[in-house]
Amino acid sequence: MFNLEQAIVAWRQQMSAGGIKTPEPLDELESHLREDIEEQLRSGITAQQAFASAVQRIGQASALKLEFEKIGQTKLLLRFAYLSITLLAVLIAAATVHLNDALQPLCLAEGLLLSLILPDMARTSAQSLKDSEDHKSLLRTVWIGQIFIALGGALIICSPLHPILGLVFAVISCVLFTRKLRRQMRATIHPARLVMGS
Amino acid sequence: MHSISMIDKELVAASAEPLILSLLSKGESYGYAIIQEIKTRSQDQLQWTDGMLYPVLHRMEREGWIESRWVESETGRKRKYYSIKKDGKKALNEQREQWLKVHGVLAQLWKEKYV
Repeated sequence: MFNLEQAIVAWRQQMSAGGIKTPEPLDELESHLREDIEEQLRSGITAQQAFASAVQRIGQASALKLEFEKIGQTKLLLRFAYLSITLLAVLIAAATVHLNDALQPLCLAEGLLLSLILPDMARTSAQSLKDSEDHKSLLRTVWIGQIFIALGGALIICSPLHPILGLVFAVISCVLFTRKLRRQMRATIHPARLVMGS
Repeated sequence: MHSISMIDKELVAASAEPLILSLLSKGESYGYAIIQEIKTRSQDQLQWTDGMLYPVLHRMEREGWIESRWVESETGRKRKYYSIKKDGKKALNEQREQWLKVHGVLAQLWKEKYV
């Protein structure tokens, strides 16, 4: 005998096992599922049929997880960007009190941290977009951004100018390319996946 | 699949934000109701994968365009209601202008074609 409540509990566990761990989106999806089932029951079909079609309509946990991850990741990266900018401010402060010996390695370390942002940002999209045109254009942005950040690194090491200037160049490049990548990723959050079966 | 759209998927995706913002500018609403409203207003030609609406809503919330609150009804049902914020209205106006521009150009071209 089909038990609707048990089926919903099992579905919730499956979604959680599929990667949607935080309770808030799960609660919201469950509320949606129940609403859909109730609506269908009014048209006279069985609870089992209503449950099955509502589950199908709501979509796979793996696909939903990827979309939710993109949002969480953007938030994390924003924090990372703020941290980088704070570090830059600290380094500039250090430069003004003439801690020049430690300045170049510190700037390089900061430059290395910056070089992690763009590839990490594109990582989750790579899983969902595979070899599509969108993916290629994301990768292009990542590579051009990395080249600019590396140029900043070269300026830190080789330039007769102050190392801070190289770092400022790397930070500005990183911020600009992160924004560009974010815009591109925003455009890929729903296309092709807001519609089922695509 | 139940929701193969009559409208091209790229267009469905591109119109998601202005549609959600326009709906919410009429008053607060929740995920299921938003989907049903879009389905009805488009005579079933614009259908979304239900679950995928939520990442879009969450992203718009993070952008600061909309805000949400949980409401419990008298029957005990909990729903997460979304409402539009000031920045959301601004974004909607910008998107509206862009859509109207495209629509204007297309309408003009098609009018010339059939005259």
